[in-house]
Amino acid sequence: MNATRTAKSKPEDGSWRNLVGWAVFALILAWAWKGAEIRPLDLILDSGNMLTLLKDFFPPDFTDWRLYLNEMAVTIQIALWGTVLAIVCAIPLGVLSASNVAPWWILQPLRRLMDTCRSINEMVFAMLFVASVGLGPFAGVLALFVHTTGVLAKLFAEAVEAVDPGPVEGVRATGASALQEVIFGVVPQVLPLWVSYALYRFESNVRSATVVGMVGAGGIGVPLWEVVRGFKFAEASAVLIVIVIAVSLIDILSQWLRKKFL
Amino acid sequence: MFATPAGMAIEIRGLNKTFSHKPAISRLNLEIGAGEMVALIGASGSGKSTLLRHIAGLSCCDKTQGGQVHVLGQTVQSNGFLSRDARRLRARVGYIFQQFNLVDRLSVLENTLLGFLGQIPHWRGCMRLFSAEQKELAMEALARVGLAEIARQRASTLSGGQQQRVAIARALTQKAEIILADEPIASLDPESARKVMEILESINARDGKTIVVTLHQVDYALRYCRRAVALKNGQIVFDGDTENLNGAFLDSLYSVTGSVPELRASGKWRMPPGSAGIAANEIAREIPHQNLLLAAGYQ
Repeated sequence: MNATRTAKSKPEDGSWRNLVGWAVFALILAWAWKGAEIRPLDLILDSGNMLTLLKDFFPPDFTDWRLYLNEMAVTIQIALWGTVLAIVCAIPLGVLSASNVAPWWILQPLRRLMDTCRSINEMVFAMLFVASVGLGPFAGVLALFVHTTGVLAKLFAEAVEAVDPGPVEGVRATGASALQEVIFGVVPQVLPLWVSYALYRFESNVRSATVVGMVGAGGIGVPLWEVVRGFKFAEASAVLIVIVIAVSLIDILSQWLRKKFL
Repeated sequence: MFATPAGMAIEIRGLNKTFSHKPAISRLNLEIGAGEMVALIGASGSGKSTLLRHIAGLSCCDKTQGGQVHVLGQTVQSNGFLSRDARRLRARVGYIFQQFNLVDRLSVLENTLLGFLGQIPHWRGCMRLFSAEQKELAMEALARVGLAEIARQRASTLSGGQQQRVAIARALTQKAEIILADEPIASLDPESARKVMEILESINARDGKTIVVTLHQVDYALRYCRRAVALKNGQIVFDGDTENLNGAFLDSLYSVTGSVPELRASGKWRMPPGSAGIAANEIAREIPHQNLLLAAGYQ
């Protein structure tokens, strides 16, 4: 917005500042290295162990493939409903948390609420919902729904904030109401972006839905957690293969949908 | 002096508008009678667009000593506050923008149908439930501007001149009693500009609608309008018959401000350093910050 402010470059002390910047960055990395207990030597020392473990994964054991496929379908169903519910809520919430639509006293509380939904991971929500609605896929749906609403509302709001105000004013000039300005002036402008975001979140929710089962919230995470805990790595390998194939297919499908729409 | 028996279409009393401490319009009084066709002329930054936006209630005047704007006998705004009737009044006032402001992803017909939003029940408008009769009326309006054949095309595929004619068709379906046109031909080639001005002229002559059009090309004002109102630094410096405009006056009208920024796509132009032109830039800066709910009159 500020066209008059120009970046003043000072080449003489620029390089000096650069050096300090990199030094600080290196210090932070070193500090994090300690905290994360990174031991690259272990990779070599324990390579025998890891090779044994890896061998246990082969050949994959597909004895229970019907169960895996069934649970994978449930996983996609969880992701689908979690995403759809989130989209439905994120549309009004997103529009109302855009600064060019709503006044600050609507905007700020909504944004903080969405921040909260977004900052708590799906797995944490899944644990909470398992405790409140019981074990099973429904807890997973609710977990994905709440988290995704927070994410999509923010993305939707950013798209709304970037609209060209011209057409909105064009609609306003016909005597349309504020809601009609949004429907006719804003939504057509942001729709391609919204669809793209929603599809992307669906893809990522399919991935998230594969793990919410680990805390009992249904889907393929349930059998995965069981076989891993039972050290049945051949079966775990089969489950992982099912997940990889399903997630890849979903990604391809959603990319195709996106192209189709835009 | 220009009062007609039909009464006043537009009445402005002591209007003041300040953009970041610079007056864009100061103590402006103006009366426009029903059925007139008036050209608003003046250099860029003289306050023409600002004035037009205030008449339609798209901008608000100063909160202290802001003055009043009355349209069709009702108050649009007074001392910085839009009246409760502002939205209903907007439905009776058509507005043509320099940048057309059509909804790109909607078809030409749908854009024209938007003119009905202020006339039909709210829920029908929101659900896009336009009746067959309304579609027919919209098609008639499109036929009048010569675009009936491309009604199904997306608005974004049209040329500038065609888009501006769709905007006029939208004002026609709106059954607007007043049409405010803000630099309607500034972004058009001469041929399209002529067509647009002729359509506006016929709407004034045949339908008796009041038309106020801002123009920076004085020759168009002379050709199509009987009355001209000239603005300089937010004040009226001439109001009368276009025949009385002479070369010396026009030279002085467009002098002083010298290097004024050229207007490009809405909201994207920049102010060159040291430019004296203020109003157009200030408007552009104001719009993105304008809050949709507040601007719509929900205060």
